[in-house]
Amino acid sequence: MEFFLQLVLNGLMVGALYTLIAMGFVLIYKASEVINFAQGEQVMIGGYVALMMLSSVRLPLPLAILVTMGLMALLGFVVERGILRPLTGYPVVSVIMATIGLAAILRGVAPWVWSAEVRGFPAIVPSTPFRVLGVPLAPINLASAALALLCMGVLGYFFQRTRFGIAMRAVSDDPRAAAAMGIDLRAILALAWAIAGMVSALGGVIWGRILGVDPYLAIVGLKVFPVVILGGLDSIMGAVVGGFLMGVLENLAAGYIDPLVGGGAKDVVPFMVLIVALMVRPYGLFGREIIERV
Amino acid sequence: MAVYQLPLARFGLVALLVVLFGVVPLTASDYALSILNLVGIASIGAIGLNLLVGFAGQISLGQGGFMAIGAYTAALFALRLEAPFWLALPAAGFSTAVVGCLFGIPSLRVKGLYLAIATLAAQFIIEWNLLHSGWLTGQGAQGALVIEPATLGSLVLDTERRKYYLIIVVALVATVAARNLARSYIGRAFVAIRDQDIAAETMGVNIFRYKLLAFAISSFYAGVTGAMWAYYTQVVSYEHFLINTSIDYLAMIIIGGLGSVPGSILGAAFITLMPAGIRDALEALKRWGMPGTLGNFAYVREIIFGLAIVLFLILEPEGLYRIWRRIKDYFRLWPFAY
Amino acid sequence: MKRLLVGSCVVVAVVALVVSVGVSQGKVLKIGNFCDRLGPTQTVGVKYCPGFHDYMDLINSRGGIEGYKIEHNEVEHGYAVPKAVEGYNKFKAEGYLAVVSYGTPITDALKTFANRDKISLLTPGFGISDVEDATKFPYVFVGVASYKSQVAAIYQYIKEAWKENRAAKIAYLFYDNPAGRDPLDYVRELPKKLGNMELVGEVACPPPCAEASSQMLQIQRLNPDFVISHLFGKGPALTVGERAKLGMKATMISLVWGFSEDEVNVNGPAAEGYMGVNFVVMPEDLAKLPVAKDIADMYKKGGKEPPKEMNSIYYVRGIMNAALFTEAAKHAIKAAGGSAVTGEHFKKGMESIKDFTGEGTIAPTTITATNHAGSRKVRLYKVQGGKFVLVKDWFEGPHL
Repeated sequence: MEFFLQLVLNGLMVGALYTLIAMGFVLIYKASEVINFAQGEQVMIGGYVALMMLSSVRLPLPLAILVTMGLMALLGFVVERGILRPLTGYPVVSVIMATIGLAAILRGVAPWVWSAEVRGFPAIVPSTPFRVLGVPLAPINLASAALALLCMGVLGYFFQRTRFGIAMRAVSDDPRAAAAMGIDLRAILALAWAIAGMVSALGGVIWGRILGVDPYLAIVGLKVFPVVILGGLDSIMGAVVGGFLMGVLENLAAGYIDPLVGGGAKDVVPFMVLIVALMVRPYGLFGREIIERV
Repeated sequence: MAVYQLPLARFGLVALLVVLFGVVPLTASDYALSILNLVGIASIGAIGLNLLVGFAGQISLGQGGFMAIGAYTAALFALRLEAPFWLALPAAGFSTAVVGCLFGIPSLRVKGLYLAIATLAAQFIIEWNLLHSGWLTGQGAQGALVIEPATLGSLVLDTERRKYYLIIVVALVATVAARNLARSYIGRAFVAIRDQDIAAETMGVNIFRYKLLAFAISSFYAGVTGAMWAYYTQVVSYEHFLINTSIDYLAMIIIGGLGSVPGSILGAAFITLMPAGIRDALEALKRWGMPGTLGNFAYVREIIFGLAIVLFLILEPEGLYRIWRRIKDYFRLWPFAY
Repeated sequence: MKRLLVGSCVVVAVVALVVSVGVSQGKVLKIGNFCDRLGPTQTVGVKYCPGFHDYMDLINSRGGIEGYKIEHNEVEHGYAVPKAVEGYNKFKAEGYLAVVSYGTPITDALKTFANRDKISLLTPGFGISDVEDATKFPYVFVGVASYKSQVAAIYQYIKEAWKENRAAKIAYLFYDNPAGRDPLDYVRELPKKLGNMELVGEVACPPPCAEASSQMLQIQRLNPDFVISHLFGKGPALTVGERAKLGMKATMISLVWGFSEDEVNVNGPAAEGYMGVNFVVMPEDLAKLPVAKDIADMYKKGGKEPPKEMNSIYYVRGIMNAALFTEAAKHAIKAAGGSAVTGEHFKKGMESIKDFTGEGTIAPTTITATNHAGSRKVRLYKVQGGKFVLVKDWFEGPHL
C-alpha cells in the first residue's frame, strides 16, 4: 500500500510537469487546430533562454522569468507569422510537417548558439525535500504543480472572462462566424502562439531546473500526446487533468507492470492508453464531442 | 488514355532502362552506387508512404515502425526458414500489411490529426514490442539479427554493385506498380476520399474499405523497404527504424511532392543526398580557407532539413516534381516562353 | 520567391554532386571518426570528437608515424543509421583504413560492412560485447573494457567492499535498449559465481529516459545495497538527483557513459557519493600527462587557447581512440614493409598492439588475433567534494 501511495504521489508530481507542456499545446490547438510537434523544442528553447538570462545577463529570478516569457511570446508570434499563417487552409499533413520542420530548425539552432553541453540550472526554490506519507517531495515539484494549477486558473479566467479569451473561443468554434462578428482572426492566432510561448517558457524553467538544460529537454515534448488525447485536445482543463492522470498511470505501470514484462511499460502504456482512448472516446475526457468520423 | 502519349516518351523509357541497368553499374564508382542504393531503398518507402498520405490523404508517423516489422520478418524468414530473399521480401510486405491494418483501424473512426497521433503511438508500441520479444527474435538481450546476403543461384549479392541490381529491380517494380495503382479504380478512390470523403461515399466508394486498403498497401511497401534495408546492411535492429526514420520519410514526400510517384523518388534522393551535399560543401569551404568548421555541420544540416520542409510547404507545396515539370515545360516551350 | 526556391534546389543538387577528392601529398594514412553532435547522445559527441582530432593533429605535428601523415576526418551522423551508412561508404571510397564507430545501432549496422571491406572498426564501449570474439567479426575491435567487462569489474569491487555476513543486495538499473541490455547475462550470472551477493531486481528506463522518478521508487522498494546503473543521455543525471531526493542509502555505481562531469554539474552537492567506472583516466590526470601539455602547446603555437573540452572525460576518450589507432598504424606500416598499407595490414597492426597505454590514458592494452577485447581493466571513481576521487586503480573483474 505504501508503495502504491508513493507511486500515486510521485505520479501527481510528474504529472504536474506534463501539464505545463500540454497546456501550451492545447492553447495552440484550441485557437488554430494545429498540432504542434515543436512543443518540446519550444520548452527547450525556453530553458536555454531562462538560463542565459540568469547566468549570463545576471537578472534576478522573477525578472529573468518575465523576460524569458516575453522572448518566448515573441518567438511564438514569429512562428505564427512566418510559418503557420502562410499555411492557412492547407491540409493537415502540411501543417503537421511544418511544425516538425520547425522542431528540426530549433534543434539545430539551440546547440549551435548555446553549445550542447549539459548545464545545471540555478536553484530557484530550496532543494531539500520534505516527506509526505514517507514520500520525499522536492519543493521544485510542488512549485511546478502550483504553477500548473495557477496557469490553469489564469487561462481559465482568460477564456471565460476576458475579451480576447472569449474571442479565441469563438474563433475555435467557428472561424467564419467569428470573423463575421468582427474578430480579427490573425490577431487571435498570433495571440494564441504568443501565450503558448509564455507557457513553454515556464515549462522550460521548471524542466530545466529538474533535468538540467541541454538539447535533450526537447524530448519531454513527446509526452504531450497521450496527455492531450486523454484529456481532450481542446480543453485546458483536460490538459491539466490528463497530465496528472497520465503521470499517475505511468508510475503505476512502471511499478506494477514493469516487473512482469521486463521494463519499458512506463513509456509504452501511455501510448496504448492513447490508442484505446482514440477508439473509445477520441475527444478525450473534457474535449468537445464534435469529431469528424469518416 | 495511353500510358505514353508520345513515341519520345517510350524512347525515353528504353533509354532510362539502358542507363539504369547498363551505363550506371558499369561506370559509377562504388560510392556513387552505394548512394544510389540508399536512394533506391528510400524510394520504395517514400512511394508507399505517398500512396497513403499523398493519394488517400491519411497521415502516418509510423513508417519507421512498419519498416522494422518488415525487416524482422525478412530476417526471421531467412534465419528460421532459410527462405530465399524472393520469398522473404513479399512475406515481409504481407506481414507488415497485416500489422499496418491493425493500426489503421483507428483511421476508420477518426481522421486527420488524430490519425497522426495514433500512428505515432504505433511507432512506439512496435519499437517496444520488438525489443521485448526475445522469444520471437531469439537473440536474447540484443534484439539484433545478422543475416546472410541475398543470393540468386550461385550469385551472392554482397558488393554494392550486385546489391544495386537487386535494389533497382525492386524499386522499379514498386514504382510501376504504384503508378498503375494510382491510375486504377483504387487510386481514384483514394484521391476521391482525400479530396472529399462524403462526396466519395455518395459516389459509391466504400470509404472504410479503401482507407484500410491504403494502409495495407502503404504498409506493404514499408515492409518491403525494411526487408531491403535488412538485405542491404545484413543486420536487423529495431534501432534502425526509430521515429526519426518516420519523419525522414514524411519529409521525402513533402519535398518530393505529395501525390506524385516520381516526386517520391526525387524526395528520397533529396533527403539522402542532402547531408552528404552539405558536408562536402563545408569541406570544400574549409579547403578554400573559408570558415565553416565541420563541428557545425550537424547544426547546419538539421536547420536546412527543417527549412527545406517549411520552405517547400510554403513556396512549392507540390514539391520537387512540380519544379521538375516546370523546368521540362520551359525547355519544351523554348524559345516561346510566355 | 519561387524562382529563389528553384535556384536553391539547383545549388543543393550541384553541391551534392561535388565529390570531394582527398589531396594526397606524400605518404598518407587515412583514419576516420564517426561522431554525433546532434541526436540522443550529442552532449558526448561535442567533447569526444575534438579529442580525437586534437590527438591526430598532435601526431602530425610531431612528424607523423614512420614518415606517414595521418589524414583524419569525421562523419557526423546524428545517431541515424542511413546517414552513418552513407558516411561509411564515403570513408571507404576515399580509402580509409580504420574508423571509430559511434553508437550501438551504428556499430550493429556497420559490422558486416567492415568485414567485407576490410576496414577496421573500433567500438570502445559502443556496443556489442559479442565482437570481443575475433572469429565472428574479425575487423571489429573493442580495445578497452566492454559493457560486460565493466559490469564484471563493478561486481569485483562489490565483492571486495562488502564486509557483512549477509549477501549484498544488488539492483541493475538500465537503459531499455540493446546497449543497456548488452551485459544482462553478466549482470545475472556473475553474482552466483562470485557468491555472497544476489541480484534483487532489474529496473529499466525506456529511452529517452526523460523521467526516472518511478524507476528510482522501484529501486528503493527493492532496498538494495548497491545499484549498478547503465544509462545514457539524461538518465544518469536524473537518477543521481532522484537518489539524493529519496535519501537512498544504496551505493550507486555507473558504467562508463553514465559517469561524467555532466552528472556533477547538473546535481551539484546531490551527486556526492556517486560512483562510476571509467576505462580512461580522468581529465585531472590527463592534465598532468605530457600529451596534454603537447596539445596545449600545439594550440598555443597556432595562437589559440587550448580547448575547454579538455576538461571533459569524453575528450580523454577521444584521445584514447586516436591513440589506439595511431599505435596500430605504427605496427601496420611495419607489417606492410614498405608497400602500401592495406586494410589487412591495419588489422594486423591492431592485433600487434601490446601493453599499450595510450600515452598514459588507458590501462596497458594488448590486442591479439584471437582476442579483440583489449584491456578489460577500469578505474573506479567516487564523487567527493564535487571532484572525482580515485577509489580503486586499474583492475578487472572475473569472466563469466
